[in-house]
Amino acid sequence: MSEAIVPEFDREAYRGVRDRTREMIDRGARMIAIVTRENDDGTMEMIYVFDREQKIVDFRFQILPEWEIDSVADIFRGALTLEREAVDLFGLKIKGVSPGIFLEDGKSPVAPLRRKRTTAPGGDADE
Amino acid sequence: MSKVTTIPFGPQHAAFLEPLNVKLTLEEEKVVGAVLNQGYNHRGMEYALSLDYKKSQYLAERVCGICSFHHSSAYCQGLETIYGIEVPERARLIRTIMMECQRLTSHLLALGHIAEAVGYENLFMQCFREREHVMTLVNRISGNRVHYSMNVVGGVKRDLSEEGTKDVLVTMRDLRPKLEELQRVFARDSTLSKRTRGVGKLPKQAAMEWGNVGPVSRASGIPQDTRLDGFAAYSMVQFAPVVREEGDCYARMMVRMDECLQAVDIIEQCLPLLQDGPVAVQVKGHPKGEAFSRVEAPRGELLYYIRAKGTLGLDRIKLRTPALMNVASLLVMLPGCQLADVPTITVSVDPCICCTDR
Repeated sequence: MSEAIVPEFDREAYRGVRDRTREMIDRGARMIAIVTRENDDGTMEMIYVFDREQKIVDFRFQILPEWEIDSVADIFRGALTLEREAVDLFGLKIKGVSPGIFLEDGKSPVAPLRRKRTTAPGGDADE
Repeated sequence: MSKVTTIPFGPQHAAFLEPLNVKLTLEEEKVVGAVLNQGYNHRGMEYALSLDYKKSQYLAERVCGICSFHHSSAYCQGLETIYGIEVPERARLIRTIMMECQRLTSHLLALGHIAEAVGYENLFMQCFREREHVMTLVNRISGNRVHYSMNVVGGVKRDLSEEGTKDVLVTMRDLRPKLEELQRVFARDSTLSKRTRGVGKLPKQAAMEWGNVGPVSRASGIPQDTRLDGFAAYSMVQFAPVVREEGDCYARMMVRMDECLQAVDIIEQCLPLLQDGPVAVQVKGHPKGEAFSRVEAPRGELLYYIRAKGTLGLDRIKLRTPALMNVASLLVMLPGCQLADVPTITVSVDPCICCTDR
């Protein structure tokens, strides 16, 4: 996997996640969800979903799984639960966010929603 | 200086219907800190739902036993958006009626649970007695009490017969005075009042910051209700979100109680709008595309994100359940309360762990 597969646009968006979240909140939006999904090439897509005046709006960007994303939980406190879930289920790195909201370290499958995943004791080998 | 003690509250606790652990830090009987520990019921539903989009219209109902129809509605709506199909009006009305029936069963369960948490067993039983009328009604309509299995992508697979329509009308007519009586008890009973007023306060600002939804946010003065989007047939009926300003257990309880009567209103508005016609349209081929779909489940806004790749398996399905956001705000409500109030506060959030953990 090479970093070149993530375009510059996504790199900028990844670096600006806090600014974009703050901009949304300042405009009166409410964060609904953080959707994480894995692309076929192993890169991850992050979708930050908001409600603004009864309409769903989002911003999204691609990252490499080893990149560390800035947390937005100090901008929108409810985001902490959403970020912890992404860390648990996809093994993402988010600054200052610890895993363990749903899964248990050493006992649960590691990053169970990743396509090419490694497993811990108790996890089912897949792919 | 009083001694600081840490005690586990749950995961198995008489006040909880499902496993949730709150680690409480106490000074004497006063709660000074709380840490949530979730995940006892994590089933990997997002993974399971992505395996076969056809089976998932039934599996989505199994995410939760209390708001099962809302889950399948959100799922079907999402796929209908991807297919770009228009669901027949009759099907949208039937979905709305069933969703409001489920709001009644869910809210009456939550109200009974609150009554039980404060030690009012008799009121708990009265709530469940009235709830049973709705449970048997949905059983007569759908053949099931919990998982209605009525939704399909494109509409519903069970029509509401003329007899069924009268059945709904009579049941709602009989239920209304009983709900009004319950409303009087919940609003005026001194025991309930003493145990819930001013307890477990969630200020409006905190509710906004924590992204609370549903009755929890409306009880803190936020008039947010996904039904205002007009999904299903909500654009065809008149209603306004039930909002209170207090932000305490009493407000959360009363919002649910008032929403029970609102549900009866909405159902009664839907029934005369039912016109003869199809209840589903056929869809062809595997879905390909992306959609966000949301409904107002009894506990609040339920969001489904679906990304389909033109195969039987889905690329990604993500559920953001209302309880996930609401349970987290216990960290605001619990500090400062008395230990004896912890069950009431926790139950006032209506914590559905099936939804939270998935």
